[in-house]
This record gives sequence, structure tokens and C-alpha cells, in this order.
Amino acid sequence: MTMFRALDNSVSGANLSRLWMDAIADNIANVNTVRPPDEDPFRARVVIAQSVEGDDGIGHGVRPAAIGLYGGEGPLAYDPHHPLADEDGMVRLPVVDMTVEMSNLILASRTYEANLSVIDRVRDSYMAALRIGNR
Amino acid sequence: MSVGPISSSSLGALSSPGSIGGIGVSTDVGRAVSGTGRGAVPGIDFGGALADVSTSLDAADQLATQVATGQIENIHEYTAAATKAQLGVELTVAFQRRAIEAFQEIMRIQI
Repeated sequence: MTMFRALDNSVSGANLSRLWMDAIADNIANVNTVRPPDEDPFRARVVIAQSVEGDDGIGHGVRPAAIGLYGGEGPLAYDPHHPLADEDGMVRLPVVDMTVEMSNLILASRTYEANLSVIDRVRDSYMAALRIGNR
Repeated sequence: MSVGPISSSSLGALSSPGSIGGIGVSTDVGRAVSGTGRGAVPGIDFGGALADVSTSLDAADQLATQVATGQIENIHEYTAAATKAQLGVELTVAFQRRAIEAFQEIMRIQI
């Protein structure tokens, strides 16, 4: 039913925020995942969102187009007794910036709640429309 | 407890003129309900709309089962589907109430 387009758009936004929170949780959980220096470090996951276009100019929400990985070199740390250290005693730390992840977490959770409040408001509006002419 | 879908064929009896109350009165209200285009609410496919509402109720039911078994990925999808089903049912009830009120207005006309 086309009258529920606002609801569908908000659900897609909430889906994306939920996926984003999953990715952030994954990144924060792996903030101490070290690897040998010759291996690719653990890279923070990034949800790449894409808007879904509609026919009349108003879109159909958002969809997760891809999961990207943060670029850059993971920093090396000197830890010679670590089981994964190479002969120089270096290990590769993950590419996860805690401050970025925490502020992204606040963004993701606020976006999720904003989408849910849209669902609430839209429902109240349509219920008010059904009460027209009530005695 | 799940409600089975309402098929359009079961509404055929409702939509025939004169079937409301079995009274042979001018059946503009009957035509309005069946949506043949000349009634008070032209162009509404009541049978199709009820089928849509029934589908949305089914969808909400399935998501409720997924929530109960813990299979659901997006919990807000269930609440949104329940909201859609509630809106659809309220719309149907409001439509029925208006049609009956309109019919009763007509019946109150003194000759």
C-alpha cells in the first residue's frame, strides 16, 4: 500500500542504523586484535549507504550498498614476547580509531531513534486522519 | 492465533445491489461499497483493499513468530508491520462505519 511509504522509508533507515551499530560493535570488539606484521591488519568496517531513488523525486529510503574497510597502514608496536611477533619483535595493531568509533556509535544510535520517532509520528498522523468526522 | 486471508470471491455477495438488509431500496450505498463508479465513493476496490489488509496482517503475524523464536534481524520491522496492519484495520472499520452511517441517513429520509 503506497500510503505506507513514509513507514517503509523509516524502516530502511532503521535497518541501516542497526547494521551500522553492528559494524561499530565489531570494530570496538576487535580494537585489540593484533596480527603479525606481514599480514593485513584488522581494518575497521564501514557501512557504505546508498539512497534508493523513486519515480516522483522522493526516494524509497536507504540501502547498505557495501561494507568497506578502512585504509591505511596499521601501526607497528614493539612486543617481542608476543606469540605473533616477527623476528624484530614487532606486531601489527588494528586500524581502529576508538574516538571515531565512539562518536559514530552516538550518531548511529541517535539516527536509529530518529527513524523510530518518524514511524511513531506518521502512525499518529494517519490515525488522526481516520478520526475525521467522529462524533 | 492467525486469521485466514479473506478472498475477494467471498465479498461478491456483499457487493451486489440490494443485498444490504435485503431491502429493495435505491442502492446507491450498495454501489458505493462495490465501487462500480457511480456511487458515493467511486472507484474503490473494496475487495482488493480488504485483501491488502489481510496480507499486511499475515506479514505482521509472520514477523511476530520470528520475534518469538529469536530469528528476527531487525526488531523495528515487526513494530512497523504491526503499525501498518493496525492502520489498515482501522481504515477498514472506519470505512464500514461511514457506509453504515450514510445508509442510516438515507433510511431516515421521510417520504
